[in-house]
Amino acid sequence: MPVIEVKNLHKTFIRQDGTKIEVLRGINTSIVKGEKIAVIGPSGSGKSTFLRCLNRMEEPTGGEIIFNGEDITKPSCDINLVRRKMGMVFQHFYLFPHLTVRKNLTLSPVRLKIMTQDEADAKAQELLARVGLADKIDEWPDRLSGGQKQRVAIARAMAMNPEVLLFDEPTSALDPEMIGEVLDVMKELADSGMTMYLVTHEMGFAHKIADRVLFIDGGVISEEGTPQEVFDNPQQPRTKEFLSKVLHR
Amino acid sequence: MKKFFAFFTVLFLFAFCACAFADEEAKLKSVNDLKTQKLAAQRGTTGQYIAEDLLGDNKNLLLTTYEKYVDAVAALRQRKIRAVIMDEMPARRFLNEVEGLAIMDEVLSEESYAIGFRKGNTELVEAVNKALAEIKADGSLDKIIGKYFEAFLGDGSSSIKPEDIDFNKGAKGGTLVVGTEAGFAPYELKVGSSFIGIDIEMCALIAKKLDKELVIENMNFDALPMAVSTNKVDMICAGMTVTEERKENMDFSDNYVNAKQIALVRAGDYEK
Amino acid sequence: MRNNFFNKHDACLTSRQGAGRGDIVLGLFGLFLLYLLYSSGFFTAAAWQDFNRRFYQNFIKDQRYMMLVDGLKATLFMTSGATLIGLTVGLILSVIRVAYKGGAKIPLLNKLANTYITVLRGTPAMVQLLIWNFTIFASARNLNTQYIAILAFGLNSGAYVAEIFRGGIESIDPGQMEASRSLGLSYGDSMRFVVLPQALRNVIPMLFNEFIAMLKETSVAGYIGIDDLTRAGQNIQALTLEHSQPLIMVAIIYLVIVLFLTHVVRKLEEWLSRGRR
Repeated sequence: MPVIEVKNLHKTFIRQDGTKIEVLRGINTSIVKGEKIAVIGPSGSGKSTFLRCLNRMEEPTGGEIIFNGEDITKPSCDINLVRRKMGMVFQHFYLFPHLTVRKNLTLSPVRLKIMTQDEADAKAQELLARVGLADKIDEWPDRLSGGQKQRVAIARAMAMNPEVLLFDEPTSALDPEMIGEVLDVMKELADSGMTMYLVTHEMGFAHKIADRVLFIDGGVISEEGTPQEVFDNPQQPRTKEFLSKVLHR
Repeated sequence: MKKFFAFFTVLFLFAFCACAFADEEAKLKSVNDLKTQKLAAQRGTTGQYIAEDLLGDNKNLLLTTYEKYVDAVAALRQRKIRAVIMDEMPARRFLNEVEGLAIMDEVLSEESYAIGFRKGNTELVEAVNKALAEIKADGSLDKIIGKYFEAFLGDGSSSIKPEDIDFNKGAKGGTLVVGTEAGFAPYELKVGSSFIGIDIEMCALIAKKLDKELVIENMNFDALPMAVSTNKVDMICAGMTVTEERKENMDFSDNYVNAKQIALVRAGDYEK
Repeated sequence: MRNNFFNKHDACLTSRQGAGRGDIVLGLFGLFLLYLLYSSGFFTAAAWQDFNRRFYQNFIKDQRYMMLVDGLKATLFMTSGATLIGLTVGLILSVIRVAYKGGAKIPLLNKLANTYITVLRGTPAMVQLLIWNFTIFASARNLNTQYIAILAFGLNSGAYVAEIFRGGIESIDPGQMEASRSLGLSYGDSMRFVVLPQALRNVIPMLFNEFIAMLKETSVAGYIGIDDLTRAGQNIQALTLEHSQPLIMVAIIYLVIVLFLTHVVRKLEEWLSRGRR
């Protein structure tokens, strides 16, 4: 049974002048437990919007998203409960600068009464050790480098014990020399069996860890398959064109 | 910053020269001369109305009204104006305390002070009139007036202590809230955290007769009519003169003291 | 983005300037004033004696300084009371406006908040004070006038504080709210634990300036019969018929308080910006 099943997902933005922009035009896909799906595509293709619809950071305007058997686009669904189970990692980290690293990790589980402060502290310690930042637990976010921030952000998303992690271009805002440390953490997560959606421009990394690759273009999935199929033998001319641009082939 | 500095230097020099070399105009000889001069009065007082009558059409140009007498007299001493139209008693006090002032011989108007009430508050007016008649008859009002005139025009002004005035605290008949402007010696003055003055002691006697506790509300003079008409205070006792205009908006008690409006000028500017 | 906001609106009162041309000019200005005093005979023995005598008259005799102390108490009482009301009202109003903009379905509340802010910012505090005292609370006889003043100044300041808070909240990257929501926290929790603390840190200099302005604004309270610091000076004037000394003393007291508050806000800023590079 899939963890998330997306059926005919639509998203239309309405500009201030009243014109409509159809960003997603019917997406159908699903992810099973432990699967890692890389989402690639040209900018403006709707891949980030697709990811943000999954935990309703953007409200879908049509279609269904079934999470653990429940349609989360229904008004009766408590989205806050769903989000506890879907961690999200942002391009710009969005650590809370007024809180220490420890508080960044423990704020939500303690506030939502999922853990006591002691339990959450222990969990934070464990997660920070896992991302290699055990010594930074009482540091302020603004004193960390970009790569360290993103690793803390991943640990923060993990602190809620999510079933799925959504990565929204997690390395795009990083200096090149810091990308490696973040990818290492993600690789370790992937190897541990985490279910992951990954919107990325890191084709090499996607090739290495993804079970499946979605190529989104013009608001629909125009090509889908294993990394070998999509990267090494693309069928669609748009996919070929895109890959040749990003891989300079 | 240089410009700023230069600007202020020039400003100060101008102010300095203006003070040092201001030409003395022709001296004032009689009240008649005031009609074309810059005058001042306390806002909302009869002094203001008299000054307006004196100046006629020029009042907008020549009349300045101040919130406090002290401000008006300061303006007089600084030659911003040539005369302050005010009540005689406070003017005499200025004459005693401040050098270089004079009062013009002619009296601008003779008038009487009375207590002001909200229009239609007949019950209280009658009760106060009755009490007023009693303290006039037994001489206690005259005694108060005599005591204050002596104290304030002599040198014993600090001999009167607010602790000696009986505000009838805890009276059964409730409170009598009196609005006043405590910058009008010898009628009312704030000392420490309490009040003294002819009006205050008179009101204390009246409150006693009415079996009420006296409560003083100290406000600006021009805010007093508003306060009494909105019931913020029960009555106004602030050396207020009865005028036809005021009678339209307020009821008054019987007169309790006679007063004069005079012109306060600089001694060097006045030639009898 | 955050830091830009912090610096851009840093009030002139609270910003530090190194010693430079400004200090030299100020020094020259002071020397010039001293020269003026000297040339007008201020430093002669007679003038000094006269100054001392008047000082005794104004402040020492019959413990007249106590009038200033009582006035200062009233001023500080009104300012702190109004500050509390202003903060509360401002916070509520700004959250309403921001929540409405963020998609909450509260058009009526938003309209009310907007009207409130427009009216209270569009009329002088003094006029509002008079209306509160003589129209709205016209028949409230037993209510301490100082409470009316606190209400009037507090509600007035609330309108300004609301705009300050709104600016502060809008200066926070929307990503902060998203990150918090993505962890399962509700809108209210995210506001309370993530956005508002950061917004508050950004607006503290402006808030303090607002309250310093209010401290000075309370000087019109004498109009409704409150013996605040300014009024206490005027009462001494009426007692001694002396014009300048009581007023200058009042001005000095205000200045000392404002300088003290400015010092406090500076320390507060340093404390709040710990952990920043």
